[in-house]
Amino acid sequence: MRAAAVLRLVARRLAWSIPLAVAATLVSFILVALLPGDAAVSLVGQNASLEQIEQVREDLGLHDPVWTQYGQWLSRAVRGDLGDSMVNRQPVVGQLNDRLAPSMSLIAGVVVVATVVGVAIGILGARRGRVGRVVDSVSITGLAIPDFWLGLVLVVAFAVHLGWFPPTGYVPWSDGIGPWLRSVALPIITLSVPATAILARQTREAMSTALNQEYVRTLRAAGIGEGSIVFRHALRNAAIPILTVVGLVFVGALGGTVAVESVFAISGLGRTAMQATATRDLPLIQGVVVYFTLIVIAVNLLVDCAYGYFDPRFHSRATESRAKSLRLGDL
Amino acid sequence: MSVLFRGFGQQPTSSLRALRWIAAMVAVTALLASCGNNDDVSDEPPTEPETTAPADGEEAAPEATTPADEEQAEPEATAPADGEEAAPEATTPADEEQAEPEGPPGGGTLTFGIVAIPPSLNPGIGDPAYNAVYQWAYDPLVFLQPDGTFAPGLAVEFGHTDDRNMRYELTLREGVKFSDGTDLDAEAVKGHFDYVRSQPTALAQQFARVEDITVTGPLSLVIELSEPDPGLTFNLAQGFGGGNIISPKGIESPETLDLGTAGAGPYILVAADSVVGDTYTFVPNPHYWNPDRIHWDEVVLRVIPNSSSMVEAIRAGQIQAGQGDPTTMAAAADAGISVLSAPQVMFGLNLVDRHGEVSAPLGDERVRRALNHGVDREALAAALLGDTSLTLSQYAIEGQRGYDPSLNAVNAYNPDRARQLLAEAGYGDGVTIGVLTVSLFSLDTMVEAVAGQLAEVGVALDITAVADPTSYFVGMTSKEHPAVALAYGLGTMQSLHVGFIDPLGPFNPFGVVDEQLDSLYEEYFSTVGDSSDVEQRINARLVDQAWALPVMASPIAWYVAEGLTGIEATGGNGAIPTLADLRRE
Repeated sequence: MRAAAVLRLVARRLAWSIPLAVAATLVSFILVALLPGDAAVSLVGQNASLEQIEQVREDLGLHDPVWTQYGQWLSRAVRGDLGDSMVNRQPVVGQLNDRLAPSMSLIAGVVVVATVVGVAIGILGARRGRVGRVVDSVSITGLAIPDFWLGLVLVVAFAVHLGWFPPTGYVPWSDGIGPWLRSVALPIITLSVPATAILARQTREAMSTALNQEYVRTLRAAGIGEGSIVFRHALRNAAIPILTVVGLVFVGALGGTVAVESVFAISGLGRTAMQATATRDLPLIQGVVVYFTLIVIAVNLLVDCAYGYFDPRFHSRATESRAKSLRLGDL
Repeated sequence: MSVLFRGFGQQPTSSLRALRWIAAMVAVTALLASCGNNDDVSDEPPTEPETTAPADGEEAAPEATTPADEEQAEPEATAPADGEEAAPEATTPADEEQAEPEGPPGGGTLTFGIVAIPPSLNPGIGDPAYNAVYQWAYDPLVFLQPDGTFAPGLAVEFGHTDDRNMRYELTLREGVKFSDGTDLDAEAVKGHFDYVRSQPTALAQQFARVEDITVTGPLSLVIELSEPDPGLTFNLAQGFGGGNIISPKGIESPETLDLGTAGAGPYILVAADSVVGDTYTFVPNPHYWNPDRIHWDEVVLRVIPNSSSMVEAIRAGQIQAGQGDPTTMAAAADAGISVLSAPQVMFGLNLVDRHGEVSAPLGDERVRRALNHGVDREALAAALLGDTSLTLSQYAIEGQRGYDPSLNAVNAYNPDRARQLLAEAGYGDGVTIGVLTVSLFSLDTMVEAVAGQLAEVGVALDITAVADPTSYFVGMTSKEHPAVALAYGLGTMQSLHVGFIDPLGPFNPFGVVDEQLDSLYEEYFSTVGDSSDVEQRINARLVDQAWALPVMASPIAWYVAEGLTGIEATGGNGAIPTLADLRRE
C-alpha cells in the first residue's frame, strides 16, 4: 500500500518536472538575454572593432528574437542535444558530464558529513541545555564564516603545512578511492561547515519538541531505554523537518560550489556556471540550468519518498484513500 | 564520550552503538584522507624571494592586457628595421638554451598554473592575452627579449625595408617543421596570415594595415602595408599572437585546433590527457627545430582561477610556476616564491566623453586637468599596490620610449590648482561625473578611492558598477558613461593607438579625434629608426589634453618556485617571458 502511494507520488513529481524544467530554462534564457553583452564580445577580444563583434553576432544567430533562439534551443534539447558552447565550441553535454562527477562528489560529501555531524550535534544539544546553547552559538558562527576564506585557511593548514591533502584539483574515482577522497576532503569540509550548523540547529529544535511529547513520557514510564526513545521514536518523529533541511542543504551546496570550486581549482558545474555567465555562453548556461534543475528535482523526489517512509500520516492518508476508493467501487 | 553516555541514561550500550556508527561516519573522511602521503607535496623549505615585488594592491591579471597593449620599447636595438636583417646567429631565448648542458626529455613534469583558459586553443582566433597557454605549442616568428630587443624565432630575418614603414620582409628559418610533420615555408606563413586576417577578432586588427602578402621564395615573403605601421614586429612576437604560426593542415581544418595544436613550438597538446577548463597536458614535439629548448618530459597546465590558491599550490609543491596577480605578490614573495614582474597596465579613469556629449563638464579640458590634479597618486599606489613607485600620471612607463620624466609634474597632485581650474571652467560649486566600473582587478576599489579624493576638490563621482567584463565592455562602448574605469597595457604609442586613440577603438567610444594628435601619429608611423622623440610628444599631448586620469601602473606577475630559472619579466618584454625556457637551475 505504502509502495503504491510512493510510486504515485514519484510519477506525479516526474510529470511535474517536465514543465518545471521548461520554465527554469525559459526564465534563465530571458534573464541572460536581459543582461548586457553577449558571447560575441567574449569571443572577439578586447580590441576588436564593433563591426567585428556584429559579424560574430550574425554568425552565432544572436540577432534572432529571443523566442526564436529559445524555440530552436528547446527543439534540440528535447532530443537530448544541448548544442555546442558558443565560446569554446565543444559539445555542452560532454563538458557538463565531465564536470558532473566533481560537483556531485562535493555535494554528496557535504550532505553526508553535514547530516551525520549536524544530527549528532543537534541530538546532543536537545539532550542537554548547556550544550544546546553552545550548539546555537556554534551554528551562528558556522553560518558567518565565508566559505572562500575558510577554504583558504584549510588549504594553508592541511595542504601547505601538514601536507595531508592536495591544495587544489580533483582526482577522479578511477584513480583510486584514497586520492579521490583526499582531493575532495577540504572542499567538502569547507562547504559542510554552514550546512552542519543549519542541520544541528534544526535537529536540536525538532528533537527538543519531540522529546517533550507525552508519548516520550509514556515510553520512559514504561521503562524503555533512553537510547531507544531517542533513536527509534523521537528521532523518527523529528525526521520530517530534518529531512526538509537536508534537501535544502543539498540545493544550497549546489550553489556553494560556485565559490569553493574556484578556490580549490575544481572544474565542476559551479565554476562552469560562473564562467558561462561571465562570457554569456548561452548554450552552456542553459545546459547548467538543465543539469541543476534535474538534480534539484531528483533531490526533492528523494526527500518526498523519505517523507513517505518516515511520516506515518502519509501511510494513513494512503490507506484512507484506498479505503474510500473501495467504498466508491462497492457503490 | 562519558557525557554522551550519561545523556542517554539507562541503556548506554545501545546508545554507544549508535554513537559509534555516527562517529565512524564522521571519522571516515579524515581517516581515509590522511592515509598515505601526498606525492605532490614538496618537502622543500620555502625559499627567499629572488625578485622584489610590489606588495598587496590592485590587480591586472594577464587577461587585462591586450595584444597591442603588451608591446614594448626599443625594437630597433636589434630588429632589422629598414632592410637590416637580424643575423640568424643572433642570440634568442631558444639559442641561449642551446648552450645549456641539459638535453631534451628527462626533465620530468612541469606543472604550470594559469588563471584562465582562452575561448579556443586556436591561436588564429584566440585572444593573445592567453599567451601563457599558446606559447608551449606555438613558436612565434620573433622573440621579444627582456632587454626590449627582438631576436629571431621562426623568422631569422625580419623588418621594414623601405623608408616609410610600409614594406616588411621576412626570411624564415630553414629546416623547421610543424608538429604534424609538414614543413614551415613561406606559403605556410602566408596561409597563416591570410587565415588570421579573415577572422572577426582583435587579433585580425593587428594586421588591419596589411594590404598584400607576396611569397618571394621558399622561405621569404614580403608584406605590403596600406599605411605605415612601425609596430608590426611586435605583433609577431610571443606576447601578441600574430606570429604564432599554425600549420597548413591546421588552417585547413581549424576545428581541430579547438582542442589540439598544430604549431612549430616545443610541445604538443595531448587532448586525451587533458580536461577542458581544468588541465592541459603537453608532451615534447618530436619535430621541434631546437630540441635543446625542450626541458621537460611533460608540461601540464592547470587552471587555478583564484590567485591565493595559486600561491598555496606552489607552496605545497603541487605546481612549480604560474601566473601571478598584484593582489598576492607580497604574499608570494613572503612565502619564498620568486615573483617576476614589471609594471605594465595603466590603471585609472578613462575620461571618454572629451567632447562633453553626455557630460558637458568633461568636454572642458580644464575639468579633465582638474581631475588629474585632484588625485594623490602616491597615497593610492601605496594603499592599493603597496608601492609608491608605481604611480602613473602619463601614458608611458619608465623604460618605454614614450616616457618623459618631466611630464610627471604637469598633472601632479595639487588640490588647490584643481579647485582653481574647476572655478575657471564655471564649476566652482562642484560637479558630478558618471563613472562606469567593474568588479575585476580591484578596479572598483580603485574608483572608490579616487572618488574619495576627488570629493575633496568638489568633484562627485556617480559610480555605476558592473560585475563582469562583458557588461563592462558593453557599458564602455554604449556612450552612456562619460568616464570609465581603465586598465590598459602600456607599451609603444602604436599599441596605445590601437584601442585607446583610434576613433574606432573600444577605449575611445565617443570617437574623439584630436588633430594635433593625429598629426603627431602620422609623423610617428612614418618614422624609421628611433621614434622616442615623437612618442614623447604624443605622450605630452595626451597629458596636456588629459585624455584620461592615469593613477598607477599595475604590474603583470609570474610566480616561480625555488630551483627553476630561465624566464624574466621586464618592461622590455612587456612582462611576457618565453615560458618554454623555464627550466631547472
